[in-house]
Formats: sequence, C-alpha cells, structure tokens
Amino acid sequence: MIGNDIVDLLQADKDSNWKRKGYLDKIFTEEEQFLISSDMHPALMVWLLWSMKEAAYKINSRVTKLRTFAPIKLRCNNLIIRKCGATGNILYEDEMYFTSSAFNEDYVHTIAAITEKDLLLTDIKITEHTSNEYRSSNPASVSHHGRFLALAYI
Amino acid sequence: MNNSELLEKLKPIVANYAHNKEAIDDITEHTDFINDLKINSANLVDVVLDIEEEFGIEIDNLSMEKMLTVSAAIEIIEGKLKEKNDR
Amino acid sequence: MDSRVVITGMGVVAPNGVGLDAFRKAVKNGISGIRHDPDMERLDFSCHITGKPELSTELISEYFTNLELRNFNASGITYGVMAGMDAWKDAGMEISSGEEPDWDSGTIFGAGTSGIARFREAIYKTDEMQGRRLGSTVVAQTMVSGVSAYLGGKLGLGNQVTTNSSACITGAESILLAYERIKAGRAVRMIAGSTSDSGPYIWGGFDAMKVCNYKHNDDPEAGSRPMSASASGFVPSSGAGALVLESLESAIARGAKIYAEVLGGHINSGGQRGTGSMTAPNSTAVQRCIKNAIKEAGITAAEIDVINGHLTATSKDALEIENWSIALQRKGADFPYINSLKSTIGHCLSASGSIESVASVLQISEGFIFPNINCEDLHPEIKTVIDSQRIPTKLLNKDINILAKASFGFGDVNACLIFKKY
Repeated sequence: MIGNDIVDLLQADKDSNWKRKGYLDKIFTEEEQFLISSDMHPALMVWLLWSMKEAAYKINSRVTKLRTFAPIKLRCNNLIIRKCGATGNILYEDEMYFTSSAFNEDYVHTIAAITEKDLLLTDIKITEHTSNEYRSSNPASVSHHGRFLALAYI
Repeated sequence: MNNSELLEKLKPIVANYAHNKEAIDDITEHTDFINDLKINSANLVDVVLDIEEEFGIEIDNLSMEKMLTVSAAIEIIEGKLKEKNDR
Repeated sequence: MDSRVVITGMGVVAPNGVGLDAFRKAVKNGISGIRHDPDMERLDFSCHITGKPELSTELISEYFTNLELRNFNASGITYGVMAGMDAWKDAGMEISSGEEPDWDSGTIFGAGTSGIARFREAIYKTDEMQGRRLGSTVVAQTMVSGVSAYLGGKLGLGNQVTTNSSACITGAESILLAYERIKAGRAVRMIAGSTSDSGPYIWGGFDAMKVCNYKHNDDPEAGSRPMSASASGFVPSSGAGALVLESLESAIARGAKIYAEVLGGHINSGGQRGTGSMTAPNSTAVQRCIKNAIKEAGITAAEIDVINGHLTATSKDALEIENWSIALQRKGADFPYINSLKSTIGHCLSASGSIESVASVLQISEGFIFPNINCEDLHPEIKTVIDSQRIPTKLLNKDINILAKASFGFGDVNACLIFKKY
C-alpha cells in the first residue's frame, strides 16, 4: 500500500502563512521545528515535512478507515536530505512508514509506503492537472494541489 | 451562545479557506470541512487557530484530531467555552 | 550526598599506539594503525585490512608470568590486562601485595567475546577426543569475564569485579556503570574499560554481513573513512582501553592527577522497534539517549564543545550527525566540533567505547581536538546539516570544557557520556 502527496509551493505560499503564531506548534514536533528553523530554506522544509505526513496519513486512514487530523502525531524520523530529494520515515502510533520525496522550485512530492521495497516499485507521474482522464489509468494514489496532479502506480 | 449562533460565527472563518465557495451557503452541522468545503488540510490548522482567537479558547491536540466537521467543531467549542466559564 | 567522580588514570592498547604516550602522539597526528591483514586475505574474506595493536613478547611478559603465558591465546585478555594495569599505575596506585584485597577498588571491564582463538583450539581438541588434555586455563581464557578476573587477581581488587557486554557500547557502558557505583558510594575507585579480541574468527562474521570495507585493500590507511562520501563500510580492529574512575574526595586526598570529571550519561535501547533492528538504530531512541545524558549531567546542549561520535564509516554516519543535530538543536556553524577516532584505528567493536573515551579525555585534559583523516571528501548529506569546519582535519589546540562521547551498537543499544574539564 502506498500514499502520495504533492504540494504546489506557489499555491502553498499563497494559501498558508506558516509563520503565523501557533501554526507550527500545532503541526510539528519540537525536533521537526528545529529542522525548519535551522534550514536555509525553511518554507521548503515546512512543506517537505508536511507532505511526508500527508502521504503516510493517506495510507493509515485507508487501512484503519479512520479519519483524524493529528499532524503532530505523525512524526518524521531518520530524515536525510539530498540535493533534490529526501528519504525518511513517519512514525504514527505503532506503525512506521517509509517515505521518499522529491522537490524542485515548483513543488514538493512525497510517496509513502509500508515497506522500503514498495517505494522502489512505485511509478510516479506528475503533470499540470487539467482533466480527469487519469482515472482510467487506475493509479494507486492520487494527489492534487494547485497546478499539479501527482499519480502513483504500483 | 447556542448552536446556531456558534454556526454563524464559524461560517466566516471556514469560508476564508473553503475552495468550494458554493457550499458555504448550504453549511449545516453535517458539513465536512475537507470533503464538502474542500478546505486544504494545511488550512485546517488556520481554522483551528482562528477559532481559538475568535472564541478566546485553546484547542488541544486531542480535540483538534476530531475537528473535521462543523458538528465536531461546534461540540469542541461549546466544551471549551464551558470549561472556561466554569473556571 | 552523591560523590563526584573523576578520572585519575588511563591505559590504552590501540592499533595505532600501545601505551598512553604512543597513543597520544598517534591520535594528535592522525596516524593510522590500519594494516594489510594476510589472515583475512588467506581466508578469502572480502576485507583484507584490519587494525591490531602491535605487541612484542617482551612487553607482554611484563604483565603476565611465564606460567600464565603457557598455552595462552586470548588476545582480548592480553590487551585488557595491559590497559587496566597501565591505568592503575598511571593513577599512582600500588599493586597490593598483602593478603588483604583492596575492598574499595573494583573493575567493570567489558568484552564482546573472550579468547576466541583459544576457544577454537579447545573445540578441535574436544572433537578429537583430547578433552582431558585441554589444560587448566581454557575456562579462564574463554569465559567472557576472563579479562576482569585476570585483572582483579593481578591488582588484588576486593570490590565488584565483573564484565559487561553490550556490543559496540560495551566500553561506554562500563564507564557509566563504574561512575554510578562510585557515585552511589559503593566503591571508591573502579577500573572501567573494555577489550576486543583480534583475528578472523571475530571479524569474519562482520565481513559476512557485508558491513566491512573491501574497497581499500591495497591502501589500508585510507580504508577507514568516517563521514566521507566514499565511506564504504567499517574496518574491523581490536585493542583495549581503561580508565580509573575515582571519587573526587579520594582523588584529592591522595593528591592524584585528575584528567577530567565524569558528569554522567545515559544508556537506552530502541527496542528494535520503528526503524530499529538488530543492526539499525531507532533514531528516536538515539536522540532521546543524547538528550537524557545532557539532562543527567546537569548541563545544557549549548555547553557542549566537542563530540566524539560513534561514526563507523558506513552509510549511517549522516544519520548519526542528524540525530546529534536534532538532539542538541544545534546546526551549521553552531554545531560542536566533532571527530571520530575510527578514522585512524578502525572499529574496535566492544573496545571502541573505552579506547575512544581515553582519546576524548586526553583532549579535555590537554586542550586539543584530534584531526579526522580520510574525510577530505565530506559526505554531501553531512554538509547539509553541519559546517565542514566543525569536522577538523588538522589538529586544533583548543581548550575544551565539555565533551560528549557516544557509542551505538548492535541490538539497537545507545550510550552517551558527558565528560568535563576539572
């Protein structure tokens, strides 16, 4: 099982003021807030961590059929940042998810999976989203935000 | 404050973040923030923060977890207001 | 009131230097003790480079009697006894010759295995129906507590004499256990330390797990590359380190030289949950261990001047740096100086924590930060977390007030110690 999440950085910048008082406290653990505050590109780190949480949450809610809004309980762990991507884990209650992220000037995209192997087996298609035609291609996980549509196939 | 008064105060807050503007007019207790109003989940935090400011309450993480619908929001606000007045 | 605990003596038997003086010189100058290992090559392992202390028979005979050396084949015990006795002498302690043991002194001397080469001989003998000719010292040489038993006998220790074992954190753990015993008033001084056997029978298993370096077989000194982009596995090695821990009160009363104070530390396990496994760390536990060590030492993260890391030269080095960064909430140029002794001595396994602690304490007491070698090509993922100037590649002469030493080991176990200038 996989989950994916895309953040259009332009759209996020328009819609969300993460510098707002109390905002980060509601979403990120102390450790995650340190990663944000100490990063050269704090906004990118905010949306990277957020997309990791969202991608993992999508798997969890599909398995448990439960909906909650508990971003702070989805904890980012083992985050290793590379030039245009990152890998890490999300811990949520007793579950652990593996994540792999890619980012550029326009977006941050994360796929999450229950095993590391599933990450490697996943095909990702990111397009500027215009129509609903993708449905017939039967993606395993769909995410859209702003200008972008991200489809993940196993 | 009764439920309909609460709802009236809540409306402009959620309207700010709703991507489905038409659904605002039909808002009821059964309205779902994400599915019906198409509020981006990253903006749910803003809804929570706005509610805290508007009603002068503090919404803990456990309450925030449940805040996915109008009815849940109203229930939580009522509870917190009561706590505040009891003190 | 709890006793304050200080370090009053040290001894070391390391691949790049036997004895405190030779070791100090090697550490300060970044001299490598990694050599080509004909045994590993002959036995067709993929890693042909290791680090072994170089010992002459004359030197060994200063520590053991001729009788003891008959059929003696336990390298870990040799190293441990030498380091332990050196530390004792360095602390200015006499070897009690009377009938009465020294009730106030003991040892917690860790080991991963003991006399593995002797054990092999014993197994062959047994299988060849020669069991009756095993001799009287097989047990003493092959029991894991052999090292503390030999040491206890030679020095006449009358307090606790034991061996701890917890993979690569063994050495750091022995120091913390000794610290706690003295702090609680149950002993006045303890030799804390750890040792590790040499040879293919101990190192082969790691090679089989493909965690050892096999890319530098023709350039041994460049083989151990902590924090380097070209790090490709650790270089197995051996040796022993020992530290005499003593109550401050006793140290002052004896007029002993004080190297540094042990402020405390923390040990925990990731329980092999989450990302933790037999071989992989659970970062949450690592961060927690570091944070608790700081708390238990009564300092703040901002006060740490230098970190002596575990940093084995595998792909996990970047993750370790990130865990430090998160736990300390320090990053970039604000991060403490950090070094890894493994760049010059390889990974001494159960002995690593104690040998590296000896190097750490020398840095505090003499005001220097030893250079890391083989990391001229710093790993790019490490560069995203900390400034490259925090990883010295040349000797820095600098006063150090507080140093944090950590070890992490198989079984998802973690240890972090905090040392302070006295």
